Amino acid sequence: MSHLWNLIRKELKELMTPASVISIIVVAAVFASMGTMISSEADRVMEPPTIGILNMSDDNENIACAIGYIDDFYIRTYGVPSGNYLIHMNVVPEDRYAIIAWMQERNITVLFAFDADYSDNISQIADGTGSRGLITVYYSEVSTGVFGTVSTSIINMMISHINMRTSEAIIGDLIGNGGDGASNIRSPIQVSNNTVFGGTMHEGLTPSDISSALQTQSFLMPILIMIIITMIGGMIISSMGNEKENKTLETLLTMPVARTTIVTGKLLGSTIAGLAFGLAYLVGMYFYMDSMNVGNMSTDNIGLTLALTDWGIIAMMIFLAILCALGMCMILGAFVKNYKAAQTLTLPITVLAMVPMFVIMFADFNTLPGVLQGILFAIPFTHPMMVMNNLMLGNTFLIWTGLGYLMIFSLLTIYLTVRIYNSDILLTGLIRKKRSPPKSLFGRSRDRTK
Amino acid sequence: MVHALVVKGLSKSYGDHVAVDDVSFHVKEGEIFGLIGPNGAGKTTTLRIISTLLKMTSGDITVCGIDMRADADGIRKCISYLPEDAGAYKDLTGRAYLNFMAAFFTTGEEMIRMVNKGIEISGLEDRIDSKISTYSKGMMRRLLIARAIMPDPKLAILDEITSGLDVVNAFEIKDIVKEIAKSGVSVLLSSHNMFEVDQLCDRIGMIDGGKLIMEGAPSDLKREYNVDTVEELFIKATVKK
Repeated sequence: MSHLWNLIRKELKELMTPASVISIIVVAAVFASMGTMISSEADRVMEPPTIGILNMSDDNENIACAIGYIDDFYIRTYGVPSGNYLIHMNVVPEDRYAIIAWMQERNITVLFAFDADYSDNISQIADGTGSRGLITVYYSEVSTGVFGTVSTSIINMMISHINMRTSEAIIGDLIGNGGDGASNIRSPIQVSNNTVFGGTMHEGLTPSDISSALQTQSFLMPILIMIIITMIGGMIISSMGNEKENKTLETLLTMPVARTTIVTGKLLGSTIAGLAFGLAYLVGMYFYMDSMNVGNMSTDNIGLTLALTDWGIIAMMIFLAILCALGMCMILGAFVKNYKAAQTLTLPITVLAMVPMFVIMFADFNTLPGVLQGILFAIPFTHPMMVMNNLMLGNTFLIWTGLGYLMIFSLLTIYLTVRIYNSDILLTGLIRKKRSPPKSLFGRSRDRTK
Repeated sequence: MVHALVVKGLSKSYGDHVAVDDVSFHVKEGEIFGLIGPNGAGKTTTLRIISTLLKMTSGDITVCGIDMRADADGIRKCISYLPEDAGAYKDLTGRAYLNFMAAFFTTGEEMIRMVNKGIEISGLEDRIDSKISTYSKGMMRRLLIARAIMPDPKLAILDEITSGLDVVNAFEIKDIVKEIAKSGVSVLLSSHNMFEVDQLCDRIGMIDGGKLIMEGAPSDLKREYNVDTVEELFIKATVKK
């Protein structure tokens, strides 16, 4: 067995204890199951809703039109006719509580009640004598969760559609042209959106569409990288603190093995553990973030996709970022005296991971002031946080300079770590220049002889 | 005759502070040599330099004929160092720890033999497969001594091996050290327990304020200074100085 593999195995055994593995799997599973729950709730919301219809009018002409518009909405939105989703309340309710009771009996959450004068009012609008038709919407036992707003939005969209189509029909009657003419009068302006993003023209899209399509990448990667860096950074610094406290490092350094091998073994072992933990988090976070993307445009919709080589670049960047973090942690860990002191030294790494995370999540690197761009570029963890978006948008300059910077940074930290492992600092820490000599047990005896 | 260890004019400074000042001594093959002195005298620094952990400011060190400045890696192959109050990787079992350490010296059948020797020295029997986190201080120390001895080092460097142990465990550890020396291993140990070194050591070196103030066999030194114990010897030697 090579010395390097022996060290890597030891490091993995130390870092991937049953306790740490279980806790990470549990956290990842919690995220994944939250995502699954949210997805199933979202899927339920995105299904065609079952709607109760109550007609309190004797004249059915305009109500039949309205139901036709609802059918049109179902076909456009869900691709199915509304026939199976509309349940007519054929009894005249005594009061509104009777309506709710009827809905609850049939497990219906929304009901459109067409007013007794609805049809007459709509008919008389063209004459200028009628008032607006009234549709009373009853909601029963609706979800108060995040997706409750989605179901309400859909009902509002449906009402808007009925409103628009009824309006067009009235205008059509007035001008004697029920086709495009009525539609043009109602909406005389046509809008065509064109957005240039990442150097490419995206027709028919607004910045909001693109932003929502990139939401998963913009949030997932920074959070994931931050979690991996702080978690693995904390583990390696704590491990160094433990090694110093238990003097296992002193023992290890007197073994017949090169210091470079010891450093490499520690770094690779921790990096493998970090990647394994990161993968667990990635799966959990992906399910979670993807479930939050309901109804938004996907990157595929706007032609932003990743090739296999792109995934290779992403993996390389994450690997190098972990290596940089571990190198920094091992340098910091060299000055740690014990496990307790190690806990405070994780702070610089945490800050360095959190700053780019928040900036990348809420701002575009390319639009930041130059100074901030420089600071973010210098933080090695920034690059994997924005690599996915950069790859999709073809920001090759940032990708390759970032990759090069990470390589140089990781090599530099490894070099410094090896230098420290070859120096006295690892055992003695930084010694102040002025220091009083050690007390001599026999100093007083000597003094007495003078 | 090649000595196991030869230290000549060894000095170590941290800025203005001189931790070890022109120390010279040697350890013969199969000999137990004790470095004694108060806390902060420079014992541990001296042991760490000989163990290749710290760099010397000046002087020369030769271990088993190998010059430290020329080949520190070579020296690591023939020494074993056990730091004061050392621990082990608590998530490993005793056997896994010995396996991990043995893999730095050898492979295959030879490694199995080395680990079995370590298990025998430790006397941990069934507990060798328990996690180290469950070991008592005495069990831990026996495991670490076993780790230090199993690769058959030419020179074992043991820093305060019995500190913090109860009488029974300390007695057992001292027995192990005597057995090591009988098998031909040279032992350099440090202690501020002067009764212990009187019992264990063939020769001693007294160190104070970074300087070696006397060196010799305990019996010879006691006779020379006309005292009964090493402790009295130390006081008298210091006052005389």
